Amino acid sequence: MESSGRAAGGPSRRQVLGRGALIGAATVGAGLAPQAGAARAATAPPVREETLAAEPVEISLRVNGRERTLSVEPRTTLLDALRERLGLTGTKKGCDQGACGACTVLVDGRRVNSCLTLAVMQRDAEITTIEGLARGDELHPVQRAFLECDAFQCGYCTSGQIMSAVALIEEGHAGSPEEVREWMSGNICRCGAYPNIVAAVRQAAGGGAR
Amino acid sequence: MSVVGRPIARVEGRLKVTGAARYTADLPQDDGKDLVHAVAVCAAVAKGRITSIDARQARAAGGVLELITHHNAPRLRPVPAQEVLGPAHETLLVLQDDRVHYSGQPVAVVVADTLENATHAASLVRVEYAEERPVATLFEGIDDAFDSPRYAPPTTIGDVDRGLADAAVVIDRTYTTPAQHHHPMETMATTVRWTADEVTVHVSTQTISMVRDGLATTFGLRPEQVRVVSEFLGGGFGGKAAWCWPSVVTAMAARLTGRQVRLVTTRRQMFAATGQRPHSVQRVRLGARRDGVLTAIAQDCVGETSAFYDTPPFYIGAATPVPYGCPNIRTTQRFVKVNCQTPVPMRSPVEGVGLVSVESAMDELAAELGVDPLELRRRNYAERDPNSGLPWSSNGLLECYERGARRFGWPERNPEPRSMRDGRYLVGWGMATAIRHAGSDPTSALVRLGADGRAVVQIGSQDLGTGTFTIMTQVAADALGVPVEMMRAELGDTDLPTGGGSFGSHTAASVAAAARLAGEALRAKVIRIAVADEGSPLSGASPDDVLVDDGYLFVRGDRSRGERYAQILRRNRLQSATGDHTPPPREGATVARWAFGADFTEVKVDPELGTVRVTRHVKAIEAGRIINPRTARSQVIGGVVMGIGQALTEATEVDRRDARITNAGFWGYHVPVNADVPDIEAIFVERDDPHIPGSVKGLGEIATIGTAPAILNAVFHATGKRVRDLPITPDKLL
Repeated sequence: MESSGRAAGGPSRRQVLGRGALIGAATVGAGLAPQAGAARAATAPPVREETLAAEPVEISLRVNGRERTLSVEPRTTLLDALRERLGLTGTKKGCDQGACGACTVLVDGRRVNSCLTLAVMQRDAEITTIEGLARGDELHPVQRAFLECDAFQCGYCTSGQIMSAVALIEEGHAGSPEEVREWMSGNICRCGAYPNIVAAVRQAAGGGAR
Repeated sequence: MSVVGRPIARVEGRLKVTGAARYTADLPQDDGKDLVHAVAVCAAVAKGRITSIDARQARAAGGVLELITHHNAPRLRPVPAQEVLGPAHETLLVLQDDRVHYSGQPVAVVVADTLENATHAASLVRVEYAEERPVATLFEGIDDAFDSPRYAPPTTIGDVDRGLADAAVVIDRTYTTPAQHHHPMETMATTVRWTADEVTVHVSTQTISMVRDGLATTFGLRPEQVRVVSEFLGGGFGGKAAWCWPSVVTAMAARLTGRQVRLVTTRRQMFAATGQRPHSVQRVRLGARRDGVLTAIAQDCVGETSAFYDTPPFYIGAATPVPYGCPNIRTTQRFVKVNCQTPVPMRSPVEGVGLVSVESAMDELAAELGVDPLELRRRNYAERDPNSGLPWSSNGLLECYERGARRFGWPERNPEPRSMRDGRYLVGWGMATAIRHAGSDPTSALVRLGADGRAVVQIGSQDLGTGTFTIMTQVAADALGVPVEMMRAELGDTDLPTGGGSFGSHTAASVAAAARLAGEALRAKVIRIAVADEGSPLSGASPDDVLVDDGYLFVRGDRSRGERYAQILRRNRLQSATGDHTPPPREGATVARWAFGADFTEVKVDPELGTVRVTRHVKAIEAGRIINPRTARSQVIGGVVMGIGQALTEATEVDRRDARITNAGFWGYHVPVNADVPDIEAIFVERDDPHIPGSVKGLGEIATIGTAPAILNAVFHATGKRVRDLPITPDKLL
């Protein structure tokens, strides 16, 4: 939670929206949410009960080629479902606001910030995470290139970088170092491995290493 | 050939590219039965008192197990020893009273069965405050700035006033640098299990031993009752160097609920959880003769500290050691109490901030005198350490200048500002000097060898991502004499031999020294066993005559008379040995140990839009001997990238009305992205240093020091406009 209300107030947006929509709303607009001072009424009206139910629903997700059945609340993000329910912790939470790319997964081949979509919205989709790239012991060419080019230090953003790279090569956006830089700019690396990431993507795309 | 100095791939690299490396928040959930989640509710005002907390609705929400406020939180004991625990210790008395000292201070913690339930319940906690007017920025309190003679004493060498009076030219300028946040990609994650006998803490920290000692003191436990684990760390940059409140409140929650509790701070909470690089104002005066030789350097800094912190240490100040030979030097540091979280080190807290002003002023002096900026620095090369007066243990700075300049093409520079163009872009070239003290910490290592010939090296250190796993492996393998594939590294656990904190550019030197001592001790031990073992071909040989190569031990001059480690160990027991590195004391030192660097950078500035792009960068570094050029190069590139952010995009913005941070997320706090970063070249000038074990000086901070001022100077060269207020956003150039 980012901060509490500054003062007790009338029904806030989140109460009106209710529990079911809260996490989704907070997820997409956490930076904008005017938690503080949204209402500064001097006296607090009686606390309202929540209006929407959030009963868990049974869904199946197709992840890395496997059908997985799980029970999630409608407000659960795809990211949290992957990590907390399916144990696929290779996908990382870096900001939970769609601004860093650490949680990038492929949904039907497209790169998606998994913190910005709800698990229940992906019932019919084909989801690929970092755990689904290698074939047994054989690394995916992008994984191999990241290793060979030392395209990471701490490794925390690496899953997202690799998933982005896999998709952008498919998209045909790895034609030059400049193009790779531009199309990889949704994935932040605070260790600053960017030049090596560009080299790795180019190598995996068959465009020369350095 | 020794594996030390070879660019082997990261030993943990495969785990990282497959998503299998387990960071703190990834740990298995203990069968999924016991783990519960905590979410902090943070103060929405920067100063005042909590007048009421209405938690009725939150307590009634689904899945809620516990709600902690200052009314029911366990009482904490203050941690007295600032020197031991870093700058944040007083901030750790969280949830103890109704006082609010900074926006984002935790005021309640909700524990629930799922993350969703905890997050939701936290949103239902209603807190009312009696708000007081905060000190929002350092400028508001600058008249009340105070010094800290005990923890941040001034430096005085010679007579600065006389040096300024004797100068032919005096540069007198004031620079400001903003508050910055570290923003490791992994936010602070903590998982605590509290049983009757033991508290087990998994935490993202750069110092497991500090967290252990801090938690023990605060909760009245013995250190051996607390085990702290941090195996994979998603970056830190100083933000995880100090002990901070997330681990304290998670421990409270675990104690009160009896459950295993995990708390992962949000990205927004990271702006108040771990402290920041403090906002600073730096006045620099340089006195020089006509030929550029310095007669005086004075640097007077004011920085922020938190409103409830009376003893700020030097390492959150900007007053910096000076890299130039000069008879008269004075640096002073004062502090202003601001309603912010207590500042902490951020990747070179002293030189990385303080040299921004000194190196910019040097560039202004060069322009004033009409001397090439690089030549000015050469003329002021210090033959001895100007700060201590001691001879250098080794110093490759002149070679850094020379090789960096040559690689960059510096001699082609037209000295005239606005003289170089690329189409409609203004081109600027700038450079700066970097220095950083080279030290190490007491560190112990254990190396163990099994009957399969495989070995393990253990140190209770941490790997920030800089390559500690890898260099430990290399050095221990080399010392023992086994192939690097046969050595495995373990770190990040207080049950292992004690290591120091992973900060201050100390880790490589500390870890390498201890790993070598332990590896060599074990090698000597096994040799002694072998020569006394009648079943060994080495029986009866003098231990001094036994050599080891690739796991094979043999008698000097007769390679056929020998056997492998595995064979000796099979007849004897599993063997191990320890090594204890003790750094030379700083008191009474006879030499000054420093790392050096020189940055050369090119920027292109859009004259209509004021946008600045760094288009190439060369950094030459002398950090003694490089253990692994591959990981070292990545570390230097990363340091330059952080310097680009410092120069051009990064600032933590505070609303002056209410002292709240207005850009608390990656959407508003701009760290460099891939498109902001050009090709970066790292040059290693290597030196043997007889005064440093393994000649390892450390890279973490020298990698970023110097980059920001070089960019500032390049922007001046491109535009003719001197920006003295970081970061250089377009508005400052238009």
